[in-house]
Amino acid sequence: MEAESGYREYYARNMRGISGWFKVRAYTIERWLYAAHRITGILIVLFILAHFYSTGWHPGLWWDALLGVVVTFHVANGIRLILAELGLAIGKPLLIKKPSQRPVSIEGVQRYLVVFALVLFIVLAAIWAYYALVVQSMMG
Amino acid sequence: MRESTVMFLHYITAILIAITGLIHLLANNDPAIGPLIKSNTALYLGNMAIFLAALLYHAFNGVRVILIEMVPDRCWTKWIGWAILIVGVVTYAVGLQVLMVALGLA
Repeated sequence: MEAESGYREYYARNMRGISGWFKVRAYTIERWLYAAHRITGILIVLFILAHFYSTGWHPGLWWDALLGVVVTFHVANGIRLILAELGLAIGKPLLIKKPSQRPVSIEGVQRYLVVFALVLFIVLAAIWAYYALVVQSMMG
Repeated sequence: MRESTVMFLHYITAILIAITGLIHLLANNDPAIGPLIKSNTALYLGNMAIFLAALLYHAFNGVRVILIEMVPDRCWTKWIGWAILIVGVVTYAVGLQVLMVALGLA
C-alpha cells in the first residue's frame, strides 16, 4: 500500500504533461538547457525520419544551417550531460554549510561545464554553418 | 533489462553517434576528405552500420523515455518498450538494406 500511494503521488505530480517541460522560471540555467535538449531531440528525430523515408533528404541551404544549430546544441549539451553523469570535470562534491545553499551547478566547479557546453555549441554551429553555406555551394 | 543499463547504453550510443556521425558528415560534405573515406566501401558501410544502430537506439530510447514520462503506468511502460524495440529492429533491417543498395553492394 505504501508503494501504491507513492506511485499515485508521482502520477499526480506528472499531470502537467508537456507544459511541465517549460516550467523553467526561477530555476538554474540547466533547467533551460534540459527543455532545449528535449526540443532539439524531438526535432532531430523528425529530421532523421524524413532523412530515412526519402533517403538522404535534407532541408537545404539556410535550413541546413538551422538544422546545424539544432544538432550541435544537442551534441554539446549531451557531452555536458555525459561528463556530469560520469562525474568527470565537475570537481569534488560540495560540503553543504547552510540550508539555503545554492545548487552545486552555481557554486561548484560544475558551473564551468555549462560555459564549456555553450562555447562548444557556438563553435560547432559555426563550423556546420560554414559547411552548409560556403562549402556546399562550392561543391555545387 | 534494467533501466540503469538502458540509460548507460543511451550514453554509450551517444558517444558512438558523435564519432560515426562526424565520419558520415565529412564523407558527404567535405570535398577533400569525403572521397578518401568513401573510397573504402567496406569500412564506410561498417561505419554506417554502427551509426545507424546507435542512432536508432538513441532516438527510439529518447522517444520511449518521453512516452513513459507522459504515461507513467507500469503496464503501458512495458508495452511501449516492446513496441519501440520491434519498430527499431525493423527500421534497422530496412535501413541496412537501403545502405547496401546505396553503396552498390546489394
